Amino acid sequence: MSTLSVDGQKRYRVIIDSHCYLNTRGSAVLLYNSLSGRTLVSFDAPRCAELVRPWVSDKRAPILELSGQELIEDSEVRAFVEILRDELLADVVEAPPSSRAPFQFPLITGQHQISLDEAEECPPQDAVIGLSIYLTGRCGRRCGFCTTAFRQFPCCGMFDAAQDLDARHLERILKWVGGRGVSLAFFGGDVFRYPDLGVIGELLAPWPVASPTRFHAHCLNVLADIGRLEALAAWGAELAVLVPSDVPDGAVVDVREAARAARVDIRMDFILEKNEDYFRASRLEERLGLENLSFRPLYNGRNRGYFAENVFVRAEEMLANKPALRAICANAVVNRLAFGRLFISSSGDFYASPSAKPLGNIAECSLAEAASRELAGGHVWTRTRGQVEPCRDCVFQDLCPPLTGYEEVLGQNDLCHVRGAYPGKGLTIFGAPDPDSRS
Amino acid sequence: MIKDYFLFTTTSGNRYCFHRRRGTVLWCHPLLYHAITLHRAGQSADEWFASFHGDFVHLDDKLFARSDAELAQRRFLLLRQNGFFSETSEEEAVLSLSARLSASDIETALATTPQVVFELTERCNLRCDYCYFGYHYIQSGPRSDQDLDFATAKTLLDYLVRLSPAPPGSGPSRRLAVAFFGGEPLLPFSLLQQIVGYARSVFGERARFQIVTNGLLLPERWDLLVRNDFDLLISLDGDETCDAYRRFKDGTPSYEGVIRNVRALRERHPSYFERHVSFNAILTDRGSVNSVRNFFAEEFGKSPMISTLMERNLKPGDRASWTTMVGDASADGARADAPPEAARKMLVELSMPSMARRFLSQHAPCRFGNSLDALLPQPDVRMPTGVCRPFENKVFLTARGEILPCEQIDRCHALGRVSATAVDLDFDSVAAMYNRSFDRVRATCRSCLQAFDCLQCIFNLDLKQPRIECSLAPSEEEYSGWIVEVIDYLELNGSNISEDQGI
Repeated sequence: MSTLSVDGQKRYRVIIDSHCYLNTRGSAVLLYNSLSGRTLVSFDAPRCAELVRPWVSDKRAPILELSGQELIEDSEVRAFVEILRDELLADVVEAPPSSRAPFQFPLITGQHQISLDEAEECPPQDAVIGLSIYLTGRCGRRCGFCTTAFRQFPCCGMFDAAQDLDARHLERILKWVGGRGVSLAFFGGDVFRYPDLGVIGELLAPWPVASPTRFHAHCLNVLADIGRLEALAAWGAELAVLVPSDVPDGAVVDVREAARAARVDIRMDFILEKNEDYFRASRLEERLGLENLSFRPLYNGRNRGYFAENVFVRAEEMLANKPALRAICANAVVNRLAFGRLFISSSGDFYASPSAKPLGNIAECSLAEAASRELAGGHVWTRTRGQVEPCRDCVFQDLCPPLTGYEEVLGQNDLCHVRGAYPGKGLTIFGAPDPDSRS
Repeated sequence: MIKDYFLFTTTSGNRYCFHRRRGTVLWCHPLLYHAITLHRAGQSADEWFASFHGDFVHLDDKLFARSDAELAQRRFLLLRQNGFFSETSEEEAVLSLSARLSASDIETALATTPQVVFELTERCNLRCDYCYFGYHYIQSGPRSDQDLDFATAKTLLDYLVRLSPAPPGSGPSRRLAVAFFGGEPLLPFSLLQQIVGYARSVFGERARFQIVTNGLLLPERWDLLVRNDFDLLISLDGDETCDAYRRFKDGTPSYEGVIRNVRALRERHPSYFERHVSFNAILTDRGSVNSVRNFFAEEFGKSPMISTLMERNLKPGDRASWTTMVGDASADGARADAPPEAARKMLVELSMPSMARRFLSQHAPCRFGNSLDALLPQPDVRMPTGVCRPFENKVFLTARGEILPCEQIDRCHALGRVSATAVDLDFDSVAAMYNRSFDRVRATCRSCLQAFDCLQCIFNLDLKQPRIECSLAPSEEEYSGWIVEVIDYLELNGSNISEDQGI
């Protein structure tokens, strides 16, 4: 670390970089630079907490005015300022008596209270960015994980047994979202058993703004109805193929080949319940040259250890992704994984999440009204880490990814590794050093 | 290619780098500022950093520690790695400005529009010298003594209710501001009463009312306004001297009558006056910003909105008299069609608080989350110019039944019509008209520095010209100058404005 040269007779300004985010919780202070991912956490350092408090409570410009004497005599303050400077979280300049402080925007802070009032005033349908439509409960398969998986991540599952969505309802829904660029996901059961499947392409065709469209299906269901792939290609839809561990490699290969022949874009969604599932998926990825795949950790009631070890995030991993200020700010008020997404069951009920209470039925409730009800009184779109233990008291709460479906199914989110990294006292830096930014 | 980042120094000597697309205002250490200046000029900042020897670095007669230079270098590299020194080609700008409107966008915006503005009448009991509907301006359509027909207003309100996305049987759940405009909207009083009564019957307490008036008819009308909590905006330019251009048809000043009525309103309904009455003053050569502000502060304890004279649609032969009213005809060397320097300064002084507020609300990092837009994924593209999506803020119905997105748009741009029995508004045609205009204007916007932060309404441009000229498109010098003015102002007033803004 470079030493700060200080003249005891002068005054100095410590100017926090415009790309920073600040959070305070209890005696902990966190300052994060969104350009580098480097993060300073001071824990149980009362002088540091005192210095940054006006930036939070009074929304003051994030500038410290300090005397050289103070910097020489107060070792805690000096260490704080030297780390801020060395980690490019702040700059330090002399402040002659008559000089004017620069203009700095107030920082985004963890205490920034965002009102959703304006969102409620907006056209509520503008809030809908994704629509998951459950076409049918029909399915020949009886997967053990069916219901629980559907609550944890997007995949086919048991939501509304054996009932088909009324084609008139489907038409109404697609008219609402037509041309608005809302992403559409179609689920079953087995989507290929939906009797009015052919209508979907016709309904989507007239809209000038194409809606990103995806169908979710079990790998073996795709294989059983392989002739449908050409229709999906004609509609410009993507197919998300669910690959649980009991699906043979050969079936994955066959689906991949059939999709390639039909020129349909596919994504392989590998379900991971244990380490072996990941190794197998990686082997297939390499062997088949899969370009589009995702890993879906599944909590099955018995693999808590697997989740703790592989799924829950570590501070270094999280910061390596350099969360953007916009995402951090949104994390404080909404759940970004859930916000703007609605489900429609095959009986026409709207949900903000498959685990939540219905918002209304399409027979009496428009899409806008369903969105409006969730905005006004729902708890899915606005479920944040700030509301749950133990995240509530953690300075990383807005930097962490939003609460996930598997955390809800697990019933706890204290398997995280971020809080465990806290030091008991003093100043600690998190985040991988950026080798190119150091001379 | 247009460089997206601008360097500037404020009058206090603070140095900054502003990124026009990210909206970032980055205060710069002098060494970092110099490195970015070199980079922007196409010279190598890396070589400059590599040239340092010894424990100190000289720059602009100042001595910096070597460690300061190393930190500046790391910061420069970090900014560069994060794409801060970006450039935008005209092709990229065109792509970024390629958003289009669909019929569904128009319908949705109208179904949820927060305000309907009725031009109740073209009649007025005054003939103000500077009136936009008066003799100094080219009129974009016929204008005489037409009143709005109640059935026409009712048809539009019923239409808005039908479009509203409320569930069947529950009645309209939306809030709607119903505003009245003129002419002088208190002249056709029974029409005003009818519309207020009908809007109340349909929207109940969710209807709010607003009116812009010259105040001459207030005593006979204020019961209705007070009973319905009207937001009342009174046009008054200040004291008797400042208000001299506001006159009756015979040339007599209107000031005495207006001030008497306003004082009487305050005396009769003090609480209403406190909560609901505000003033709009036009600044002319008869007053100054301070004299106008002082008048309203001393007389009513209020701060007025202050506007300047409209320059758009000015008759070419009337520029001299318009310039006199603006306040300074001695703009030596200025272009004949340019506003005089005094007017420009006045405009800057007047508009700076609102420009600074706008700058803060657009660029402060904590603006994220203050609106629904901020919570949703950002679209890659936006509409060219600063035009609003039609009806997202209001719908305006003229006394002749024309539908416009705003009262400030010329009548020749009407998007549809309302009659006593029907609304004739084709969403597909409206969307197509906007999209055609976007296609035309994109060629002008693609090379504009302010393309992503535009203040220009597309309806103010002459889209019939082969090459569309935009009076607001700044040169690089003007753009930097504007940013310097805003940041200078914010250095002195930033914390107060931030508090006002809730930032």
